[in-house]
Amino acid sequence: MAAAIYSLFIINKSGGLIFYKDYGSTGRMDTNDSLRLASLWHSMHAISQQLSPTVGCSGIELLQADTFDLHCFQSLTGTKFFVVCEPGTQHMENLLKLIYELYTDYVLKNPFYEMEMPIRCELFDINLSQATQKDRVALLGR
Amino acid sequence: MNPEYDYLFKLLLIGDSGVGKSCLLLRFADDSYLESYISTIGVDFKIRTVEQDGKTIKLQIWDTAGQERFRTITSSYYRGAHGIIVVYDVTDQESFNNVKQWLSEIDRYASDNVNKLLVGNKCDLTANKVVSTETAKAFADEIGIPFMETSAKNSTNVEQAFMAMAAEIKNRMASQPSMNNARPPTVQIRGQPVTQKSGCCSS
Repeated sequence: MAAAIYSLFIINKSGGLIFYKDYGSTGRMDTNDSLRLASLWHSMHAISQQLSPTVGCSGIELLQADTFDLHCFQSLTGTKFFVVCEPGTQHMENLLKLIYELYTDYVLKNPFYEMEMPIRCELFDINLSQATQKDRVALLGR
Repeated sequence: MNPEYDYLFKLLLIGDSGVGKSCLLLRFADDSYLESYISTIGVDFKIRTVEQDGKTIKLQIWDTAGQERFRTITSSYYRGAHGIIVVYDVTDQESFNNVKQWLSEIDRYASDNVNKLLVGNKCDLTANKVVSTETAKAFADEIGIPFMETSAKNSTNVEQAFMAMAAEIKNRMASQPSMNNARPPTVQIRGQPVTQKSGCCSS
């Protein structure tokens, strides 16, 4: 069983959605809606950097709402990973870093993967589904 | 396997406010047309799926606001764009004059190898036309980018403009070394066996 995660998005540095996974059973979005939403988040993230009164702000990391939390991790090259989860879900920062590791290992090192394009790597899918298991995520806190 | 598309291309529409960027996009993505003018706030997205050489391509078109006050985060829109379409209004000389400035924005923010296209919109308004086809064509040739005249209202050339751009990008991607199936350059190793001369010890 997956942890209390609703969905996972990966967007490339130009704001395009290259990976999307829905863990909830209700309200599944169609592909174009997920693309639109991801790019909107990219824009919002850019705006949040400009809102910061101090220089060197890296943008929104956590967005809390009544019904969900959104955690965002941006790699140094500008690829953004974000999960939408139940409010108060623990260890999401660690999970995002782990997913980033899986991305570098199974996507970037895949010779058939084209940079910045949609992720279609079987090994990444397999390892990701293991990483998001509930008991695995609980272990991330240690 | 997740996602159900093979390629995702980012296209960008830029140009002065009111030249018809959103209408062009509406015509291309939804095949509709609105007579009323609604200013784009920040950015709007439209997506169209096309098939080329058996690959599913999602064309995600970023329709930017032409108005100056929405320009604060434009640089993040240019980043990583595969193709940029600069639009002017054939009935508005000023919008054509400003094309140079839009092109310099591209040079500043977008990647060097980005595909560009110059589009003169509203070509159905022949009576009010002030920018001649010849002038625009000469300008486009001078800077080496393709040029087209379109009408979002009559849907003249709209499909062609976007599809031409998509095909060009696809070709560019295919000619990049990472995707090139041609035989990679190999180092030719040639040599002759070293003839054994009688060594100093045997003499």
